Amino acid sequence: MKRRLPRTLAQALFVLWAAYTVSFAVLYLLPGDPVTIMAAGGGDASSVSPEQIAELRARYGLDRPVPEQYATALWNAVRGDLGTSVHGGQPVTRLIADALPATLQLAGATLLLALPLGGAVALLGTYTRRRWLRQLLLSLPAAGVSAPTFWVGLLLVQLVSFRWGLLPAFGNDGWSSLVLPSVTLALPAAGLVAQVFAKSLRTALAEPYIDTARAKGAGRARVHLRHAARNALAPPLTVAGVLTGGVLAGSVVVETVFARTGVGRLTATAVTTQDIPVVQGLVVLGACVYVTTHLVVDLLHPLLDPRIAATERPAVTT
Amino acid sequence: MTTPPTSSEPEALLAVRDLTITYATRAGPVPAVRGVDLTVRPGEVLALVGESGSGKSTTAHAVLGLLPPGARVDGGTIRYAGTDLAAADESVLRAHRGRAIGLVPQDPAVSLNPVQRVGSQVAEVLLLHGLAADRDTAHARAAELLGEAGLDRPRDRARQYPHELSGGMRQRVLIAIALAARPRLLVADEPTSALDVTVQRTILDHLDTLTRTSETAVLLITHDLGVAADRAGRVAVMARGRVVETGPTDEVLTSPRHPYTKALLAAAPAFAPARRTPSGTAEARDGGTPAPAPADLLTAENLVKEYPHRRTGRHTPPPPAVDGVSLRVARGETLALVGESGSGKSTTARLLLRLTDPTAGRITFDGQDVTRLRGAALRALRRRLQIVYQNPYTSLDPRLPVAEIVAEPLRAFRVAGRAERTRRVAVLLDRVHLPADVARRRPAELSGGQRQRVAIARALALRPDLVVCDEPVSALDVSAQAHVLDVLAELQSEDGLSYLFITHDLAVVRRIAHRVAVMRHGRIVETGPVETVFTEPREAWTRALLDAVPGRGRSAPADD
Repeated sequence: MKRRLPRTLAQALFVLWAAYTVSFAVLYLLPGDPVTIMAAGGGDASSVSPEQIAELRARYGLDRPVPEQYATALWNAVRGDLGTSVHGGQPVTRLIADALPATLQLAGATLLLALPLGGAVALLGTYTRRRWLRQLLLSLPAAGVSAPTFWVGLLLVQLVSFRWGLLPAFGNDGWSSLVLPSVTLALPAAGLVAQVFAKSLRTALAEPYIDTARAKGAGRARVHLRHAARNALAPPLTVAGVLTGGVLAGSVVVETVFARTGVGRLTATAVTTQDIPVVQGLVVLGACVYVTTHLVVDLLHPLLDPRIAATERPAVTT
Repeated sequence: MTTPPTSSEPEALLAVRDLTITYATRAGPVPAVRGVDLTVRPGEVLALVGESGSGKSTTAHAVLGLLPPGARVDGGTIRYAGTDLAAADESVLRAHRGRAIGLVPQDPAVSLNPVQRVGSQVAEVLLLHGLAADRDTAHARAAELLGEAGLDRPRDRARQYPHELSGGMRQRVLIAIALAARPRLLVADEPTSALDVTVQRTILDHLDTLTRTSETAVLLITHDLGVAADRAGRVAVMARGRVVETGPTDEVLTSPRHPYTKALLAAAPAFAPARRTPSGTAEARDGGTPAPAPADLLTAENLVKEYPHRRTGRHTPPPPAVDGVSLRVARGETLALVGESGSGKSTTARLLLRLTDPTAGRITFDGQDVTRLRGAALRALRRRLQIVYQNPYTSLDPRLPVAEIVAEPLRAFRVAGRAERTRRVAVLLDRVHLPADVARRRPAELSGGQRQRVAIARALALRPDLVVCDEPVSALDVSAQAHVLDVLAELQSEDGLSYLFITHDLAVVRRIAHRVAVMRHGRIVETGPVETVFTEPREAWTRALLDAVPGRGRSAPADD
């Protein structure tokens, strides 16, 4: 693993660079002139004189050739400067930094709910010998995965907040406001974890080493947790990594539905107002999150399964 | 639950009476074990012999209360020291498993928990049955047990994971697990079928010693009559869920009474006389003359295959997988390439088939140098060189009907039109003795032997000159083995095919091959006509390999 780390890091950097470059290309080279939008300030673009536009172009370096613009932007991005918002004029890094804590809370709460919930459903569903319970538990995940986030969110708000008045429906005030949005995001995530974990548990339970463990005199619970679960953890771990990135995407919907501030709302606003530097900053943030979670998952796998650390060896078989 | 032992057999440690087990399938209940009676006395070895599907493994697992899902004991009793395990509840069974009855499972490659150190897996037995005061003593004792099971440096081994051990070492770990709690009965379910003969022998020897000193009784499940002959005092032969014959080993194997036992003995390669001739080309095989046409079809000169090594920690590069191999196969001849796993025989076959490129050396086929053939010329060569793989359960596409599997090479080379292909498939299936209706079925509906014959039909579709058979019968039961070998011999005599026959089973070599090449550590250590090599081996290694064949003492009584 120590040998693999530099390579994994290099791959991570490449992904970041590629994400930045592609988003630069897509956002700047496609129709929709940022300067016209900027100058209009939300009003009518025709009221701005060509001189003003030219001046803006010069100020933002948009009159330079594209490769030069790209090089400057990339160099700035490397130094941590992602430009300034077209509206408002705040630095993009500032906007993201302000929005991030709320979304991190949401993501953290979501994962804390989803992983134990999904894990428990899978473990119980494969463990119980009651047929009806098994079938009930193992059909829940499919329901969780297929229910659309915005619908679940609205339903929860309707019931819990409006009808029963238990929890706040909107806003960012304290932990109580975190419950409904994180539950909304956690349900499909838990469903996915449970589906994958239950499948890999069933596979593990059919392996011959499970017979060996039972032949030792181990009880069912011990066989399930000690022998099967540990061997079945790799697929749900991978899914958990993907989900962590997915929570960021999910926050766009959930923060809108629950009127929370955060990265998701920032994204929604930036896209609707064509605030290109902000959108690009968010793309880079998303790439960062994915790259980091994959790195963490990659590093965790060999801890779960000693065979992975050994796969570097050339496979000489006859 | 507990009743005193029946007076008729006071000495029985395990008494199975009228045991009936059925599997629930979609087509309704299928009986797997039908009224089986077995008795194992303290300290004795009883071999339960039969082919796959005979119910022997199901019986063994029932003794431990470890039937697979869907299987149910429908009647009968399994008394262990007076307790009926067939009627016992889970807690009674758990107290017996590991403590009173140990299990050595079938395949050491997959029977150990891959993510746990082997020491912990042995220690678990002691902890489960309260045989160690705490974790530390359990782990110390586990290391001792690994040493007793024959592992070197047991303390270091205990800290290793299963994937870091060889198959033989893993089986020793499983034996340490099975014997950890000093059970009075050991159920050994095909304990060495997955291992090389030499490893098989040392493991079985060691198991013998351990169980004899501790007076542990053994219920040895095996399909290998040779193993039964060497190891068991008594034999019970199972067929179609019934015990058809039981008695002292010598009696059953020398004068079998039941026709099934006779058939099993006749099919077992270890007990069959060396095959001088398959039907047909008798003259070719008799008298040691190699082959009808002396022209070499395939030759290899000094083949070397090195795999790149990436481990930076190593100072010396690993030895080449194939290290200077020269061989030749004449037209109409069968050359057997024997050796243990890791000896380089499969790599050699891949080189000859041009599936891998050699690091050095030269290959000629039909007089032409094919070592560096590329593109269309290589594709043309493929038509004449075909392969039959070891495992018929994975080498056939499960989604295709047999007709399409067999016709695939024809389609790939655009050999014939649709109607002509159908006709040829029918002929090919007939030649490998498969009924015509097999064409419409899928591999899952066929037995192992039938599948392997489908694979042979596919290999023959393009009328090749040489077929490489990579352990083609090692996954099959003895009677299916015999049938597949007969089909191969028949095809050879009709078409003048050449075979390169890769195997670790010397008994099979005797049956099928004209000449044999013995491989070890990537080199050929001995080569010659089968009879010569088998009766007068020059190399010590060849002799060791021959000595390790189970049941050999019986097949060649004049020898030792």
